[in-house]
Amino acid sequence: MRRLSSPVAVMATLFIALALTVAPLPSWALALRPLWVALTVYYWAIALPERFGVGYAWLVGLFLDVLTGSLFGAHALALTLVAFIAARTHLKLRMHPLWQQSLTVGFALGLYAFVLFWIGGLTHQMSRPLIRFAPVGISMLLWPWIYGFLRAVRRRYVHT
Amino acid sequence: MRILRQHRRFHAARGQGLRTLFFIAAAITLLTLDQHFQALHAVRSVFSAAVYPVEWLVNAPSFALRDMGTAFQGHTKLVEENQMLRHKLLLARARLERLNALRRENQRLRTLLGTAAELPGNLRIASILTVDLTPYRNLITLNIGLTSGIRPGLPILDASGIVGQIKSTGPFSSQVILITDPASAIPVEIERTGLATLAFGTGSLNLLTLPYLPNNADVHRGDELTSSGLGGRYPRGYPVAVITQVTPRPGQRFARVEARPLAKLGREHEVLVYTFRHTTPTGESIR
Repeated sequence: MRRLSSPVAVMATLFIALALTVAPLPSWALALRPLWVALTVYYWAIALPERFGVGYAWLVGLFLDVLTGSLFGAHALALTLVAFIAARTHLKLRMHPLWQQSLTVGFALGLYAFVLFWIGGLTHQMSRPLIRFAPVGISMLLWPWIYGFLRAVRRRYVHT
Repeated sequence: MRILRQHRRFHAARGQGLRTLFFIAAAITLLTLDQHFQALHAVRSVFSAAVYPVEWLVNAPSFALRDMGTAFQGHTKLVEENQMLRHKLLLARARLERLNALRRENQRLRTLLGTAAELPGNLRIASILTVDLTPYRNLITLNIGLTSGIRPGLPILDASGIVGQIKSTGPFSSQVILITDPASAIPVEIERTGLATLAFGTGSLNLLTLPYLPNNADVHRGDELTSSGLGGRYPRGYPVAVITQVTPRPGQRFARVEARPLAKLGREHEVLVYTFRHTTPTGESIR
């Protein structure tokens, strides 16, 4: 089996995550959409810490800003923090079972949601704060499956 | 080689602190530039061109479904629809003729008055790519951008009312902020009385609020709001909303007044971009 070079696989998963972020959903599900991009960035930051650093997270954040029409730099800032937490914890994280990993993911994504909420507040977009954190919970529950899927992608397509 | 890689992996986090600080500073700089100086249109449009494939991919299934729907409609239904459209076309032609006559008359009168007739603006049809970006904002993305002469600030209309205005543009797509976005305010006047005020978005697609109408203002349920053209952003005299509720609040300075937008927000596939020239606040009306 010919293996793809790793940047293509990583970029493809990020592309899918970006598409899922803006894919149409029924209106009741909008506030519950998982944080696809943050989850993907988190995975690559713990799986390839020496290659996928904060700089890439930042760049992905800028794309996400343009796609969602938020203030330029908001998602870049939030994703930089996610990648940083991932890089700091990746060695410890490998020791833990998946459900404990979910808690760390929840912490990183909670910070992510908070930063976005805070920037939204600075630009006077008020919203009910609690609903803003619903996607964090959903993403935590999804983490084991995301992890499994992206690990399969990595084992198949990424050289180590 | 493998050991070296393991080593690098083990110490990967070491250099990240400084780099993280750098990227955080860069992000905050971008935020400030975007918020206070709106200086990033060019950069945004480059990124916007890069994410266009994502937008296209996301919408491909729904466009395909719509096309398939047309293909599978029964023959009789199509014939019926054809007939109906013919009738509509006839009516529209008749109306257009009357409008043309009026325009000629208007032009003649203007010449008589000695004022140069301004060029009427252009209307362009644009397809809506995405509607639901985030639940807290009311933005839509259109399939035309800078390459079609779209620029920030242009008003967006549909057949029944004002939809919003262009917020930012990329080469092939542009974002529209709807009049119901919480960050949007549109200068309106009550058609019956000419009273001018502002209508604010609430985040809900069928609700505008008019917070600056005093308790004794002459406004009733069912009054139609048209754009006043003040500020020069929106064309004058185009329908915006209809008042749904007026609740005087004794003891407070302003009444609670709510309105329902007339444009079919979030229910249309196509909208019109009105590329008129920004001239004076009392610029040309579209009618």
